[in-house]
Amino acid sequence: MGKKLCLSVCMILLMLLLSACYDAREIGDYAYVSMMGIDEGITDTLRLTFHIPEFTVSGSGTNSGGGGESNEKEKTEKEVITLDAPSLLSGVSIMNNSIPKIINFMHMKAIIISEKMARAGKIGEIVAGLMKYRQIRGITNIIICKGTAQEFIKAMKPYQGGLITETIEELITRSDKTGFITEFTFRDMYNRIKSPTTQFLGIYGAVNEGENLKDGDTPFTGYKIPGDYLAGETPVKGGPKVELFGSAIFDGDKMVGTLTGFETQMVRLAHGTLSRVVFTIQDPLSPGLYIPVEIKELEKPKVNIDLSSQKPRIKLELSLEGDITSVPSRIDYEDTKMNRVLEQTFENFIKTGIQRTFLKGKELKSDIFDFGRTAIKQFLTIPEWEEYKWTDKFSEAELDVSVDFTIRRTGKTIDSGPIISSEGKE
Amino acid sequence: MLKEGKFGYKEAISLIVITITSKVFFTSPSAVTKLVGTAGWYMTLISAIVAALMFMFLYLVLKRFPGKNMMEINDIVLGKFAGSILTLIYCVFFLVIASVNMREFTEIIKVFVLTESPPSFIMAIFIISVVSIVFAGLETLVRYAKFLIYILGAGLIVVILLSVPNFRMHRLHPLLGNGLEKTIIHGALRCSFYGEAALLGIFAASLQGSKEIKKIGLYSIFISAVVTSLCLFSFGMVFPYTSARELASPMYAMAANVRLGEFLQHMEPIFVFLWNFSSFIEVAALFYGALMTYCHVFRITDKRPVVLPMGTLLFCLNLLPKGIQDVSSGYVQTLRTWGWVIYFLPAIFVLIIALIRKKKGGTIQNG
Repeated sequence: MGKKLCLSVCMILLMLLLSACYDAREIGDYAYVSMMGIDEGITDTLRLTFHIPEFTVSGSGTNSGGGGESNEKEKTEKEVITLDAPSLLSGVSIMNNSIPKIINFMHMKAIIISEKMARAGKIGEIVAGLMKYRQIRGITNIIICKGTAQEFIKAMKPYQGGLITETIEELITRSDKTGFITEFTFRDMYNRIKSPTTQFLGIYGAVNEGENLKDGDTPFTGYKIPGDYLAGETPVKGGPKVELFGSAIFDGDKMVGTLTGFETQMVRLAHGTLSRVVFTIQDPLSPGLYIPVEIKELEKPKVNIDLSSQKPRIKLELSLEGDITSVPSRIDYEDTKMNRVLEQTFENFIKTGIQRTFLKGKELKSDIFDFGRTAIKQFLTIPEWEEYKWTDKFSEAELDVSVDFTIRRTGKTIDSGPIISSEGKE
Repeated sequence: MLKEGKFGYKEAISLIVITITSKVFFTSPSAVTKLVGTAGWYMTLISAIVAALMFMFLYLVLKRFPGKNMMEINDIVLGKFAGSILTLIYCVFFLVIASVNMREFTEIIKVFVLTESPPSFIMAIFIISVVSIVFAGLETLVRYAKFLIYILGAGLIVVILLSVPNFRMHRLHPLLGNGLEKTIIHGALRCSFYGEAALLGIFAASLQGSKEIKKIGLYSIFISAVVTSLCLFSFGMVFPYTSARELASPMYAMAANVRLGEFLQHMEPIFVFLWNFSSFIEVAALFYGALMTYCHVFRITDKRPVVLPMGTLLFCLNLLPKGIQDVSSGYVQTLRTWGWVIYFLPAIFVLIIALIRKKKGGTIQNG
């Protein structure tokens, strides 16, 4: 009897002690930060901006309030909080005095760092601090923004009424189809700024007010490489104001330059991380017109590095295949011989693009193509590799690019006939 | 009265494999990276080979005294007093290892999961569970280990497979890490990682003879080596050596790094299960080892009255380290590097004495 009583008391005690009711936390008890911005502070070391989106009523009962009725400006003011603080945790403590919820970073999608801070080489301090913070996940995206992170976050809006977290996530995920930005995360940044092998390339973002779309009567003639812009410079008006375009180049923890969207595409081609992408090249036989070509990798890029001489000699081989999506000049590129002309033009276009990007990286002493990943394989021990100082040697490297491009398909037509008018065949 | 009972080799292998491999989930991989850089995944194979060799001495001792466990053999070979001292050293050692491993678990859980719970609360809950299973007996513990090993194995495979997209082969280069010499030296010293195989000497009476013990020991070390090497290999491909050495729990970080599309993220809860169950089995096995040795020294036939006081002692030992730094770079590293002195050397020492004094079997031949 005593045994049963003792067991019953134990069971009741366990129920009471282990149920954790008194300090249980429900989802509504948290305020989830979706983006965090870091600028140089004025009244304290850091200016932190937090975007905490309002939950909409889901019908399940508990929620954090409505929000559909408030206008855009009010909503932004409510959702975006900026404060100066010496560290992230101090900022959170200050913020908790006005927000009656627990600030949570577990679902944060992006950390926005101002270009000014990145160029000042203050990233190392920030990243080292944030990496220790349990709630900040390694898969959070890192964006280096032109202007202030505060303005960037204020300008970021969910697209077509979706969630802001979804908007950020999709913007970055879709980049494997455009290649205009990199996909490096917070963990990648941490790994790369400490690495003697690779350097970090951050996503470059800016607020585009639409001022680059010029009005005028003189139509554009000539050729401009598509995507050869930096964020904030694209000739776009309307739609979301925030744009991610190009990359921020880092040497260690210091931002030393930028890559345009096109240059970033070249880097990603060499990395082998583009699943499918469209390039527009100049028609070789009718230079005033363009030919869009949709390409994909046939094989992973091959890199060979000769380290026997003073200057590392790098050989990059790309094997690509693609489809012609249109031929405005109506030149018969479907023909086998003409096909080769177009293939060679495209090969040269990629070679030139890669060489141009490589020279930029070399000047900035940053191995943006990750050639260090191949070079390291020639060293047997870590001390040998670190003594070689790849990052220094890279600035003297020479690159030889070879591109093998094959046109597989020519769209819905297999022949280009002339247009016939009263003036004859054109 | 607690009954050890008899159990088969599958149960015993499960217990030893879980006890050994659970350490890979904590600070060990980072420490290995700090020591040998990118060579950790094969350094552990060197450790396993050395541990297997050391284990063979334990087997030779057990073979010489069929049906006896290490405590009884110590008494036969060294005499009652010296044998008891050696057995008591085992007891203290197992208790210290159990407490260090448990504290490591507590600290990591506190960092990643139960950030707001006081460490003593986590420890108390853990010790209640350990004490409960120890009350159920060794046979229950091993059968539970056999049941769990499939779940733990599946969980580990899932975590590794989900991390495949983050694998980068170049991160395993330079292949020789900090140098072959360092890898071999540290590999040999860190055979203590597989030291829990020595528990088989304590549980020998519950197993089916010395031949089976040999089979269990070697298989356990082999399976543990494969699992540990696979974990180190995977984690080595996810994190470059420069930052891998800094992580508190690299395997957890590997699981947290999984991002397969927009929906398959936040996979680390799978890992928390691996942590909890494997640590529970590990600490319980070591605790049981300490309990058996203690009861043998003091001729206590009914172990139950000792369980709670020993649990309290384990709790107190847990409170000794100052914090995670003290545990990971102090206690854990010392035990991983020098643990073999207690795990394996006494068996070699006893074997030599037995040969000199011509002691064999269950009888004392020369007085």
